[in-house]
Amino acid sequence: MRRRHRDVHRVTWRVMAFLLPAIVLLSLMMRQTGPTEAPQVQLAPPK
Amino acid sequence: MTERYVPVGWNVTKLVYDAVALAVIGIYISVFLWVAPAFQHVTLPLDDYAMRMNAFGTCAFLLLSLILSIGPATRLDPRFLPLLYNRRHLGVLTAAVAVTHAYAALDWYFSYGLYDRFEMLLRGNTSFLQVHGFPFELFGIFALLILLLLATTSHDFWLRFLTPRVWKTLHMSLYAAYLSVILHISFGALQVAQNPLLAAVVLLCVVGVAVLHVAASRRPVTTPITDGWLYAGAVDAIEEDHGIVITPPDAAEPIAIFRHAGHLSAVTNLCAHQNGPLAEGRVIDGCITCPWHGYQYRLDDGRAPPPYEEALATFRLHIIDGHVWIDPVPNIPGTFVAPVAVP
Repeated sequence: MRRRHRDVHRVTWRVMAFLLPAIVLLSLMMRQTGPTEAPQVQLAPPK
Repeated sequence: MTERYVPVGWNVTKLVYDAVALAVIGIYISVFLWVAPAFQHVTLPLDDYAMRMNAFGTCAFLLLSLILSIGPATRLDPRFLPLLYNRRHLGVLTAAVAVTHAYAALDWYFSYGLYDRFEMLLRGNTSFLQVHGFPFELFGIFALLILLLLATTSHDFWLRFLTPRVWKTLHMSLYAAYLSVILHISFGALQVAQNPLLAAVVLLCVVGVAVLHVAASRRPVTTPITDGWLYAGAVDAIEEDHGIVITPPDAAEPIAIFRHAGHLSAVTNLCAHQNGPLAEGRVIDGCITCPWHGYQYRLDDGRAPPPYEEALATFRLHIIDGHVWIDPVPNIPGTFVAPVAVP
């Protein structure tokens, strides 16, 4: 591999090594938790 | 290294490689469709179409992680080399699996809409300011376009047309595709997945690929120049029919020194095919053999044996008191330099 490609490759993966797990973990932390289902819609008044 | 254009230079190795890859993909999809329904959440059951979309989506992600792991794994342990030889075939298969995933997703989400499916895909969701509901599909589209571009240009015709330097630069965009896939999964499937298995697999793959790349990309030790000659170490450090790599201190490319039949020869470390690391290869049948795809070059002039026409830059070297010194100025590719006898 050419030196320039190798240097780009090295820097890219040093950044990605932190970035990729951080994205996954952050997205997991920001998930909506608890009840997420909409309440049931009452179509007609109870008899 | 072909003398005429052929779509694919099939041989037994390639056929076996592709057959195994297809079988593994087929088994994975079948097992996923068979097992996954048992793990879905009781309140959010998925139908067959959604299962198919998930099966091909996870398969494409795993294949992409595998492809990105092959390069560094090979540098760390040559036993992985057989996986590297036809990595491009695996890339084309991955693109095909990813297209199937995208097609299933289009069918699942937009089949019953009022507007065109592609228009709905691109314009239907504009929730850019929230994590839950973010239009993650756009990341998937971007990654898919890169995969298709790389699959289309994976043939040696494009390698020759674009030159190895441009081709390699283009194919490094696979890293951007992987980042985009991770964003696609993080803002999409991981936001709605009820089972922690998906998050665990994604995290494991991401950390595994990153650790392999960082571990395999150690900075080479550069060699100082004395009186215009590079010190390349002791002769005894070079094994018969093997090579070592010397990295000059300036921006020059690394040099490979080989020992064969009691003589030393030096050529550039960059294979003329895809810039593969020649010093990690061996001397087979009297020729330097690239570890990536088996391209061969003669030791004395760096030329590929006839009828092939590739040629490498050669270097002068000499031996003083059992130590090797090399002239870092490259000769014109194909220049004859008599191998130096080891005393």
